Amino acid sequence: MGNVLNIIERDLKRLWNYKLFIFTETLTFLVQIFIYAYILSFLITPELNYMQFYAAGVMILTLWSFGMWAAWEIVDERSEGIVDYHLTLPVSRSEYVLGRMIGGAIRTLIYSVPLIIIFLFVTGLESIWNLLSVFGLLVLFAFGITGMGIIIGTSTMEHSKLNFILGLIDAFIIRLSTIYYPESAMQYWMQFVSRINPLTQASDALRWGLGLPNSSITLYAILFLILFSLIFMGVAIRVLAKRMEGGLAT
Amino acid sequence: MNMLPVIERDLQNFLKYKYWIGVLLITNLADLLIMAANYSNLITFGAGTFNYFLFFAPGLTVLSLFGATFIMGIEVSGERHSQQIYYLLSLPINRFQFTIARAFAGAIRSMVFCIPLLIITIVMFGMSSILIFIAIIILFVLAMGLTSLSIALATAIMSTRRYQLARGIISMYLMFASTVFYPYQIGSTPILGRIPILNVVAEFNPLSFGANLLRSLLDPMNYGEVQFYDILGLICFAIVMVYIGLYFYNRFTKIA
Repeated sequence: MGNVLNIIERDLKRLWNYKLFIFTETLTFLVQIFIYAYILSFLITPELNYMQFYAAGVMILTLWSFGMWAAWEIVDERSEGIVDYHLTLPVSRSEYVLGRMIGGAIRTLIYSVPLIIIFLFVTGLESIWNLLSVFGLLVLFAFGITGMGIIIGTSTMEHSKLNFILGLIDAFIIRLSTIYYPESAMQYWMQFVSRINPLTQASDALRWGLGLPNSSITLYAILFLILFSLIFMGVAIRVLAKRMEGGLAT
Repeated sequence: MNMLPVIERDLQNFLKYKYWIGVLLITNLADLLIMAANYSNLITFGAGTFNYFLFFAPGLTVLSLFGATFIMGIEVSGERHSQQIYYLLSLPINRFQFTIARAFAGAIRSMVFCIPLLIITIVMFGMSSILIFIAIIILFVLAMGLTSLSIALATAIMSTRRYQLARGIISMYLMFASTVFYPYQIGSTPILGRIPILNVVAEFNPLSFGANLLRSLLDPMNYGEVQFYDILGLICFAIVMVYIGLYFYNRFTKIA
């Protein structure tokens, strides 16, 4: 356990290494809500408070971006040989990987705190209990995304390939979710894909947690998010532990 | 030495970015066929008189062009890191011609990205061949200006992190303070003008010039005739950016 804590501490000490990335993400978050969503809300049906709807979606999207940063970090460390150094440490592989994942997820949550405050200012809050219960799910979700980022990061050592993989995933997973628009605006096949999309489940759960109109949470969504997170965490631990050995070739 | 070898080199280098090309093409198509389609179901303003899908398609074509032009900036930034820039700037070619050649090559490369969207847009609207030719020229001039902007940024800012920050901020201004996503107004109802300063800022945005011109060429009935102001703005932007690119290349040699 002490080893895991050391790894987490190392990750947290590097919290501000990516301040530029955090700054750009925060700025994008603000511009998207206060300019893009604000203006589009005048075009969208008045039954939907689009600014609130969009803010919840973008909050999840930001969580997703921060979590996916784990992929870039893994590729950087692998290509710079830092992983070779880590392998010489007296820490078991599973402790190392677990520590990295927990550290990454905590970092994601810390990065998100200022944005959550701005976000609550936009959306307001109906019930603190609902929000707290959803927050638990979102913490788990952050672990799941970080796990997913680790799996993707271990699949390549080239930045250009990683860019391609992440771009490809983003192109579909974000657009075929309820991040930007409700499911009712989608065609039937898109609705089907949206229902098996973790971003849809997470953003809908957050909207319910905030008590936004026409939002609900189902047992399916809760189970989906729990399973998604546990599976990706488990697979990430296994994949990273395995791939770290043997020269890191892809 | 003339400009052709420089253009040829940049076009050959283009294939190095096959992953970028793939991602950008797929993202642009997903934006149009998924995102724009869903937004048009959601946007009910004007009770059927305003079709957001048809409004967004030309905007997205311009946006795809913009995304692609910044690949040249990334390339120039890489050349600076690998110090290849010293070799390139020592070539026996006039610096002005060199800058023009790079902007020209960048524009050709960027056109590859927006052509699929342009074709879809043209098919949706229907357009005569002379207007298609004019639309391609407009997009090409815009691409030259944007490529020069990306070259200027990559040459002017020494730190990679600062370059990324500047690129992010400029991208946000170009994308969100323009008529790419939303119109100035629909009928007499202001849309962009809901944020008063944004209306003014969008008037000086090159992406607005490109999107407005493309919309007017495709559908003058709905978006009005081509405005001289947009043409003038676009040409001025391209010329000024080429000269700014030239200035920063020259300044780089002096600093070096």
